[in-house]
Amino acid sequence: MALNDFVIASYRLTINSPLHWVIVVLAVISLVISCWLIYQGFTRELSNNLPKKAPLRFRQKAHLSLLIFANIIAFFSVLLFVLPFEKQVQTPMFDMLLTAGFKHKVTNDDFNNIDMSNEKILYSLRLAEHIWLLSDENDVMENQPLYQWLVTNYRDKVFVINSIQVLTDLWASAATKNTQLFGLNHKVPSLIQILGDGLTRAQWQHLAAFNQQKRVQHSSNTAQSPNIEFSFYASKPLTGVTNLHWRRQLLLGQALTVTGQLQQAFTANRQFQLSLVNNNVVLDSIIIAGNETFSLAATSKIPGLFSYQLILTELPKKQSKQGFKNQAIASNSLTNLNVLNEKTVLKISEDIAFSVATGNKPRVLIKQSAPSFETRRLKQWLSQTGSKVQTISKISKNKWAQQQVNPVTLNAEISDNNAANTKLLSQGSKNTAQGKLLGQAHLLTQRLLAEHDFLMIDSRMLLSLEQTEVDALYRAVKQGLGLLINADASLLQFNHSVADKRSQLLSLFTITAVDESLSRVVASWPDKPVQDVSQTITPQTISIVISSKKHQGINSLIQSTTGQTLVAKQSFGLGTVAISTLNQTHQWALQATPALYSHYWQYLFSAISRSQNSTRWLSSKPAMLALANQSQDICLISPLETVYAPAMQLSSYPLSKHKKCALFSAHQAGWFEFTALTEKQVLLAKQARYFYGNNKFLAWQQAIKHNASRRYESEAPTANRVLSGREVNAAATYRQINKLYLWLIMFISLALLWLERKWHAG
Amino acid sequence: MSNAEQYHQQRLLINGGKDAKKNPNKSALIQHLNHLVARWKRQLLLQQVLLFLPILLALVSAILFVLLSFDILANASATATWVFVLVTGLLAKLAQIISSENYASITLSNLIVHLNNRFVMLEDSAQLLLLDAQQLSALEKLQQGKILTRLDDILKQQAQVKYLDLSPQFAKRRFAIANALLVFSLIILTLIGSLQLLNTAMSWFLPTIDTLQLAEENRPIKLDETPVGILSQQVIIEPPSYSVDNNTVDKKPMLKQISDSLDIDTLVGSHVSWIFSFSAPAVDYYIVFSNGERHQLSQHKDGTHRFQDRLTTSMVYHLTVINEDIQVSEDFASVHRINITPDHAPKIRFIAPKSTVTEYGKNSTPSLMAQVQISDDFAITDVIILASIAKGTGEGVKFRDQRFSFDRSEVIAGKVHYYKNWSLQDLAMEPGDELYFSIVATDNREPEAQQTRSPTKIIRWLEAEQSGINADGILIDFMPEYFKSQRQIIIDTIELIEDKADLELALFNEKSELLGIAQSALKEKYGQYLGDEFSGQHSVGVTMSESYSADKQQQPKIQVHDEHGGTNAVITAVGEQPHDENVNHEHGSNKLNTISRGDVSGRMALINRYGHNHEDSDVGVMTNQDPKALMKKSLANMWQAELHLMLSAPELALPFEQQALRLLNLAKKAERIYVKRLGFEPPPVTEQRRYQGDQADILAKNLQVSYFQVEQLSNQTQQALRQFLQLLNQFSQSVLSTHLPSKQPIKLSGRLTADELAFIEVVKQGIAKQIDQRPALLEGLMVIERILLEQQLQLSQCDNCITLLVSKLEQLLPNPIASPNSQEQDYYDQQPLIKSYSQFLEDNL
Repeated sequence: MALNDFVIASYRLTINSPLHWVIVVLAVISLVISCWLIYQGFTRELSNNLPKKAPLRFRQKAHLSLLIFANIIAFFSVLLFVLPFEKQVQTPMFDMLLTAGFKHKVTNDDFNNIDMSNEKILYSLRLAEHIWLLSDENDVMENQPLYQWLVTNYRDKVFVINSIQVLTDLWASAATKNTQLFGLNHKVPSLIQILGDGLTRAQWQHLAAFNQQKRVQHSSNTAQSPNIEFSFYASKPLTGVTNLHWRRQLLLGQALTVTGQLQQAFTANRQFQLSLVNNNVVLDSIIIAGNETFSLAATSKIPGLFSYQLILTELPKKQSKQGFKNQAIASNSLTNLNVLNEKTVLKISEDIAFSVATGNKPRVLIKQSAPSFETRRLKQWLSQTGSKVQTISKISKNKWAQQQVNPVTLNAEISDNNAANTKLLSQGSKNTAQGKLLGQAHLLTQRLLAEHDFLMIDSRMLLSLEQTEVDALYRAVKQGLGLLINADASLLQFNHSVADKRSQLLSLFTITAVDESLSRVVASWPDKPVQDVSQTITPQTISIVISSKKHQGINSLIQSTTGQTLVAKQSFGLGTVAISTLNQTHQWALQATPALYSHYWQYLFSAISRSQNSTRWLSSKPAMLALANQSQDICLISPLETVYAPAMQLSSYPLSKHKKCALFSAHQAGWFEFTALTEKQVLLAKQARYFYGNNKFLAWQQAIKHNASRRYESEAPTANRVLSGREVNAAATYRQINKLYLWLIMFISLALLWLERKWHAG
Repeated sequence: MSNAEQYHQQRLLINGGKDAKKNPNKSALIQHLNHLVARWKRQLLLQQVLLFLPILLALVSAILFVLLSFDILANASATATWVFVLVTGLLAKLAQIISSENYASITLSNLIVHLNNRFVMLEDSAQLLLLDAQQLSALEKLQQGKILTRLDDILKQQAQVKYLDLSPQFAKRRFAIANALLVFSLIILTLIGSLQLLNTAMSWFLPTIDTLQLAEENRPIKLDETPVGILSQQVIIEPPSYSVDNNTVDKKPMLKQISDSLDIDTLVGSHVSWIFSFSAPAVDYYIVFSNGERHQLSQHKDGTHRFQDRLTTSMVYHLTVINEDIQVSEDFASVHRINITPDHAPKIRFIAPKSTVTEYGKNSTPSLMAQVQISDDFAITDVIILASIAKGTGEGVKFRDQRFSFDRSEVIAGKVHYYKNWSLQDLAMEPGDELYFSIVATDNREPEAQQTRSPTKIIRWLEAEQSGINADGILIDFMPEYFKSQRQIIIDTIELIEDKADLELALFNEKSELLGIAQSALKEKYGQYLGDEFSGQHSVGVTMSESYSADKQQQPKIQVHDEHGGTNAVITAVGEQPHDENVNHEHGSNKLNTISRGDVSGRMALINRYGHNHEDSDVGVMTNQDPKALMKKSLANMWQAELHLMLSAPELALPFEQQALRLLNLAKKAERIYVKRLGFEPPPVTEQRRYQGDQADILAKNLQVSYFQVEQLSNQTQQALRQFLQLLNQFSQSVLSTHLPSKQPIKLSGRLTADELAFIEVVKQGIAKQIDQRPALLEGLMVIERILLEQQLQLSQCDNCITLLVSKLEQLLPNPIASPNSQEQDYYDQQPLIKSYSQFLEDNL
């Protein structure tokens, strides 16, 4: 309480501004003067009538005192009428913040809340100091029935705010006491009850930041820290899909896997059919109930941008005719379901947007101790997809065959050597020095390895590499090369005791002889395409077992169905070393489908191959819901110092000048394409992202808000929740008294004075 | 103003000036009057301009509108032109007013005259003011003085009413009319502009000129100005002469169909006549088929255009006009379909003998009634039996070919059954001889008839006695040496399924069981090579009881376990445990040729024998794709087929039979594919150098360089299909932001370039090839044709066309081959931090 407050009983008069003081001083002076004048008037009157100064008679005395009394009354009433005069009231110390989903229908008393009963809500609404109604920026709240309802019932304390920012701004300004003149008391409440769907993370962060800032300010002033407590009362969950997770950017051949959870009210337990649909063709479908999770998958056949539909259709209840149900389950088309019961059947359609791109074609080098079908098939696949492949095969003792497919530029070294070879041969000379050079064309050199992203080598070749080759390989892997060793039993004979670089590479894995019972395995890897029964691939035979070292965890890429590691990888320097026991995957292309085979290798390449070092946009998180009109962090990785993106302000990420991010807010729903350009406007990378409209994934949006609200709420001390949640704590505050009575007193006293004056004047 | 008047005026002014010196009152008046003259002039100018302005505005706007509409004037310069013309017009009008007589007649003297006329008070003496006082007589002076004051009063009065009487009269009505005209004309122009009436008018106007010119050149026919439309259309479908209506009892030939719809559904080989009458008969009309054919419609004397063709393939077509100047109605944009139902070849089904081989003992009387059901869509023209009789053994075998015809035929349930009684003795056969016969049926298709040849049946007259005939006279054709092939089993199963309605239940069950036995035999035969254990012919001769399926409750349950990729079935009898030890291991017991009829235990024995999964048929895990693995899989399917056949469920058995056949065929081919596609191709070595060990030449080939484009390695049609799908997808998933470089404009209307049209054409051809096998693609083909016609993806009057097309096209594409991609990391590994970390890791390894 300020020093200038005058407290009498439960009333308080605040005189804290110069204006107030001027008013008071002027009033006192004028009161004194007016009283003196009245007294003078009486004495003069008497002296006029009588020659001698006579004392006032009793009647006159009474008249005078009455006049002065009336004068004083009028004076005080005017002063109190003008100055802030408050009465102490017992008011609850909380505000209510109503968010979306608070109340759907005005006609009934259902507040759509699961945490608080309707009676409690009505009680709280009555007691709350302020009721803040959070509306969308685009909505005109004044026309909403909810607002109308609130205004009719709680007229003087309902305020519509467009954002949380508005609320904190109001509180901030209340702290500077500017609002005192307006008579509005937007004091920072100690408790806010949040009802409805709750707030998003960004909104909560804003509130938390305000709270923090306030605490800092207060801690500098006084020891007391009036923290705002939040309690959240969630609205009923909407029926729909939540916690969705799907990769927004896929490579051609990768399956789109949509996982998520069905959300419906706890009481309802309806059955739904959930289908993944594209162009009215059902790609995958599942029947779920309760709050079950689901996973649907489909593979796009072409690259591009796609928007599949996730359609949730309610199945008719069991009570309905049995025939209906059978028909619904048997039917694969969605239209039939509609026909069933249009009134009661709920149908929600959400878009699953994703992009499918073709891979970036890593450059592959294969060195093998003998030509094999495995590498030949791999080469065929790689050349089909337009990648660069070079194979070096030993075909005889000291004889090598080399093949290059789609070379970007001919390997200088090799071509030089080759040119030398042909020259040599044409001349027929047998110069030993040149012959040596000729013989070295097959060697792995640092330059050759630097030109490739992936080296596949069989174990016999690995063991017979020359020392210079091993050094080059070691260095290349350290610098990022992906190395895949096709392991066989020959590795078992390798002597680990020799501490050279080869053994360093090999010691990443522990290889043991096979246990006969485990020799036949069926490989499985994440997102492996589902095979028909007729396409079941026969199990592979493995000759060795990779086991993890005790101290080092092995990253198992491919496992058998029994959990045995078939392909393992280890990071080494910047690169990756992987070892594979599956040496006959080429059979899959014929036994099953080329799609399965290519998927296997795509997976291996994406795990082992040298990481991309070109400019690219980072893909968005698979579990994030990007909404229009919400800022999203969009990041780019580039080896270049300066990269431009139109319509965006890229700023470097902390600790890295290669990662640059920008905030982007889509002005409407739909696909947006981001491009990265060099200074000379050369296109470096582009990426399309889909932004959803605010009316999409309503259940998911609600779940996000619920989760965020529950989390932030729980950060507050639990005691407060108990205290504030069920019993509304009250505190003494001052409220402006009703000045109508003051005005009446002022009016009556002034009127009496006036009448007296008139009567006196005759 | 004439010179005389000017002079007079000047004089008046000079005089006035002189007087004014003497009489300031008078000079002030004259000055006032001069002021009034100037004012009058001003007002006249203003009024005239005001009257002219609306007319000018209307005129200028109209002219500008016309200029803009005809693109003579650019929009940008319109405003400038408007202002310029307006100002020029106003200036011209001003000049015209100033030089007009009206303007010139506004003089002081005329004003005086006007004052005299207007105000009686002045007594026609106002002109006295202009005269010098010296020239005046006394009376005049008196009068002048009098007038002076009166005029002063008048002027003062007039000043109060703003010189109402001393101003030019404004033609308010004319002004109002002019303004109304302006408003009216502006409304008209707006209407024309918004309704694009002018364009319509122009569109009538322009082609008329062209076609008139054309008419002058070619033929003296005048065309309508309206777009060319189809007034009437008629399609007469004449089915091929051989076709008969199967719905009628006496099978009359199919009648001509006449329809107004241009969509045609008919039989292959139908003659179709299109008869159109167009609103412009003189133009050349063409009918364009999706196979690329284009035919001109011939014009007949009655003004109709006709075209006639014989249809053999399903396709789509549309009408067109070559002359691009001719405006055509929407009828020409629509695409119509031709859906052709092919004529099937005759179907031959053996009713007896069912088995491929029928054997007779040496001492039996070998006679056999062959009964065949032959059916066709329309009619059978010829049925013959081709028979060969083989005599002798070893190298002395002689064959005698003979043609026979059936003895008689009769119609049973709408289908013709043919009968032939074979008596081997009549054919001069002896024990040890064999008769092979097959049936060739020819239908009435024209021009080339279709023939079907039945499988060959073998009748053997054995040299030894054998007991292959059971008591009921049903021949059990299980002979270990002869097998029904898997294909034959499939054919027989299909036949059995088709016959199901006609056959009695018991017979049906028996036939199914026989097929099961055949399947079993085949399975065992192959199984021998794969090392399966079988104990002889234990499966022979077990038949089902007649009451088999009379009681549904007694039917065993089949549980299919799908584990580890293999399908195993376990049959559980109702109320009985499946693994009853007593029954379970009686596999080895010899039940050869025992026929159990109606006894429950026998059935259960059978079930246990065929249903129990004694050993996994697919237990041998194959290490590679060898025929053996495929054979194993095939055998597994045969097991299933046999199971279902034995349970009289040929429908369930059929898929397994087919799968078994497919795998068998695959096994035959597997090795060959393997070698062809993946085998190492050694460099050619001549015989001379073969054993020399000289490898010098090999080195020359130690580097092979080859370039592949993705397109080279894939099917052209599929490539085009993929491109087309991508295009459609781009169209449906438009990107909103315009962050793209200017090189790549965003496609919104879906207008297609020549390249795109080219690969769409490829797609169209690809689909047209498949249309006979997959008639459902016809809808997609129609959409493609429309896209090609309109040359854009934004089709008019077709909302779901693109969706439909995409869904059809996607079905044609195989699953994609995944493309390789590098590792994706959220950091860049050239960062100093990561580099030093990797260095650290390396040091510690």
